[in-house]
Amino acid sequence: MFNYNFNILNNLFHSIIQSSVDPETLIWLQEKADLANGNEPFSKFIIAFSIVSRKVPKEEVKLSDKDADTINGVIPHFSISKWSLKKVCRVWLIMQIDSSDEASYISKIEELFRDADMNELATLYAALPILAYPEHWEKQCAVGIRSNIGYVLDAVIMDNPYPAEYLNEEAWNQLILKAIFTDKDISRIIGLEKRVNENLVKALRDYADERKAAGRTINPELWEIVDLFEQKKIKN
Amino acid sequence: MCSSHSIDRDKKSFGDNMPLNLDDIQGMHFFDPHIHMTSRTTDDYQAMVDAGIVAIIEPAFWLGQPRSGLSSYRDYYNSLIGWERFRSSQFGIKHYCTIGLNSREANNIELAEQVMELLPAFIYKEGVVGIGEIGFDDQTPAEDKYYRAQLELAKTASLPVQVHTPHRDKKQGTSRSMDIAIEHGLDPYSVIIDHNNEETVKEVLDRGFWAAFTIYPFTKMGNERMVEVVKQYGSERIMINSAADWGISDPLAVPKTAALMKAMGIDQKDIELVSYRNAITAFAQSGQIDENDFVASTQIDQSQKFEGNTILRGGQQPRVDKSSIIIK
Repeated sequence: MFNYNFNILNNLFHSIIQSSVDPETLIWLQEKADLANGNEPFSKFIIAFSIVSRKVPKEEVKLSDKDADTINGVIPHFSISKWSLKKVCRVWLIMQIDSSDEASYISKIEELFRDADMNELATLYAALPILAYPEHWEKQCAVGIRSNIGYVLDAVIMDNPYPAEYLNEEAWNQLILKAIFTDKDISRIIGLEKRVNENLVKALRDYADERKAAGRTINPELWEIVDLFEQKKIKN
Repeated sequence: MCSSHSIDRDKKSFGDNMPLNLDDIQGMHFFDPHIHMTSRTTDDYQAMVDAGIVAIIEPAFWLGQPRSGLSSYRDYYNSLIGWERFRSSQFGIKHYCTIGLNSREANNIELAEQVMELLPAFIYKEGVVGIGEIGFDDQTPAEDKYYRAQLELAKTASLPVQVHTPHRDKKQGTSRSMDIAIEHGLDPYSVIIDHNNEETVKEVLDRGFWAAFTIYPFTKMGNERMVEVVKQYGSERIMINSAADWGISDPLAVPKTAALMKAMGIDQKDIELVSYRNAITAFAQSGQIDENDFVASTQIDQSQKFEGNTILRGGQQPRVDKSSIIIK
């Protein structure tokens, strides 16, 4: 159900949280984690997921180089170094949802997506690489690419290894076009070199022509992607 | 929430068109604790930023068209904590909201029951600073029932309450709203009674509640009257808002009223309290308002951000030159 070593990541997240929050908050988080499974209605867990914003201090996560390496070793190119502490706590809570029953796990995650606020949505999309049943989230990821909320789009597009790994070509190309269209930092897209393709490059060239015809400037990073494709062709 | 307007109104009553001069309030910051941005345009957001508005509260309300199903509520609440929050941030305005079942639609009992079950999923979200706007419209038994139920919800969640007072039978409806809040054990200091006028303000203040005034042309308060209210009652527990929505309303009502107060000789300290600080004090009881969040956004240098006018950083919206007939 997981395509990575879940226990290593789960324990690491816990130890990061343990060293970052006060004992009272840690106990609170552990109690709320129990709501992920069992007899209580799952809505209580969702409320706890929201209340993380009130319980956990507003600060960036402090990550040692060793921890960053461990994460990158468990899920290649996955990085949480730009995450807030709240985001780490929320993702750890998600990791406590029992994944042994596929249908129940999926319905719980989808419920979290359904009523998520702006930051929660950004968290959920950033968490795509750690979810169980990764193939299932392809459609959800495509929904994220259509989001009008900048922070959500950032979470799907940047520092996220999920899209390159699981999106079909159509959705992947949309992601890149949207990234160019909204001036995202292209260097933070994972797997661009691997997934660059002829259809994408054609769409990028068309887009560049349109911008030129309109007398508008063209994001120079667009040509870097075209260049990647040319180099890939030569290599092959 | 406001009543419907007639566009057949005598044009003269709209007044002469005077150029807006906000020089007197340059550099001041404003907080509009009641405005329905969902119904407003991007032009409004830009004008609000220019006038010094740094943060707003958008109460959940009636959209003008009655909702026929639960999903409409869900999508609306989601837009208040999602899309609209982001849209606002693009203009450098910190967006908060209050969540509730409005009084008018409380009368659709079958749907209201479902909405009550939905509310706990939203009231604990980040940036939800209260239960609102709730209260009475026609003062029906159904409105009474859901007002009470939502007061209980506010108590459970330790959130302030933003109370809409009725247009009709207002004085009695306002007293009744406060009676019920006290009956349910709420601290008046956590309850903001909205849409006050000269007839209601004394009782609201005497009983320890917050008195909000909506500066809204034709139907609620005019700002000359507001100046007189502040002269008479001072600035303690008084706040002003625009309640701008889909009706003929003014998203700059707060800064304009501050400018008028200044021109009319009201003390600067009092102007700041009624147009900024009091709203923060009242709604920060939710634990959800961090002033650093919006003071930071006022330090954005637009000219720096948009130099070269193509690459936009930080999700900020570009400016268009409104005085030009050219659209690039």
